[in-house]
Amino acid sequence: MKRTLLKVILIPYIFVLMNWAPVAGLYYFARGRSLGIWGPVAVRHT
Amino acid sequence: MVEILFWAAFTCIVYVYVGYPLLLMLWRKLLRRPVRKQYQELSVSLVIAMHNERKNAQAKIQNCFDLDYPTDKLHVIVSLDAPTDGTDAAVLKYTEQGVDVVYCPVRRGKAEALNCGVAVARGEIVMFADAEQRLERSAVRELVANFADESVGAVSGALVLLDAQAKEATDGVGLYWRYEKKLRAMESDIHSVPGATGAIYAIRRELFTPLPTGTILDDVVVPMRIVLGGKRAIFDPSARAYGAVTQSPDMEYEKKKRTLTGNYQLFAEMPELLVPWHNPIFVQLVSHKVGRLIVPYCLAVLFISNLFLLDGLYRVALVLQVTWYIMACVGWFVSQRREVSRA
Repeated sequence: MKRTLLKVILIPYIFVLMNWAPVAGLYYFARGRSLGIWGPVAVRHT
Repeated sequence: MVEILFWAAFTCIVYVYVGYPLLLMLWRKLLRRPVRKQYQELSVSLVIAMHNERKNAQAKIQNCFDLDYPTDKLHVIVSLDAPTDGTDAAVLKYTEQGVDVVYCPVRRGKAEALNCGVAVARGEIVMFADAEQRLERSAVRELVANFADESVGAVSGALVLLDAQAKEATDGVGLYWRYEKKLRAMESDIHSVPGATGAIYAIRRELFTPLPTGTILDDVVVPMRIVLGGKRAIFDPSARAYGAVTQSPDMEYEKKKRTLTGNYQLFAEMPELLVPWHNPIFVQLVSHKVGRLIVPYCLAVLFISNLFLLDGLYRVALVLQVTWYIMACVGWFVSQRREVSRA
């Protein structure tokens, strides 16, 4: 019961967080291009 | 004007998450293109790019040896991208058992590591996998069977995310991933998926062209090039890889951020994808990939425009939106508490 409630509580947060990711992605993309970081650092987590 | 903005934003959000799946369901019903799958034993080169994967390397190679596929037809290639944690030592001892190791002493990124791996591949089919996820025994066999259909150039398998109890995850991230797989299955039935799963996908070797250094989403660029070249990139959920679901929303956010940065890179490097007469899956790509990029801005427009519309239905909409964001703040607080207690 507590686990289900926790899942429900987290849904709006996950939705907002996942929708923030494209905004952050655009920032990283724009910054990355100008700084030329499309090298190994940019793919560190692949 | 404000009303137009409100409804345009609302329509866009509803289309991306509800309208597009419904469109796919209808489209699939009318114009389904089944794949003529036939079990066969084509030669396969399995390329795994690794950087610092000492903890996963041995288990991954053992996993490759355990696959249900003739050993003389399966050629495992590990492409090392300047590891510093001893991954090279862990991998090199398997060379006597037929594993080819490509070693790059200077760090050049995953895309370049894949290029080096494919350069030594001899198989008719090149399969890609990540070090972290485990392949199901039948994974190669299931993927290869799809290449009996001449129209198929790339096949993506399915990544199954498991929770701590080793069951398919059903929490927020797990649910999202299941929704994503349903979309991919429908897109595949119509023509092609706009992207494969990095943990498990395969292509015809002759269709591979080297990736630009620094490519973030090899698993999207490779199949999309194949689709632009006139072949299909399909999704086969019976070829599975298993991975652990991320422990917290924040960790998933980091992965998502990288993926979406990669999407911007994709459109900048391959603008032809956004030209309807060049891209046979233009509608799918725009609805699936571009849609996800613009939804956040639509959410902002929806909220801000609603602040200027306070009558009747709009008042209800504003209350719902404010409640949603308050719940998101509560969720953030709960998530942070969990992180602290986990630490």
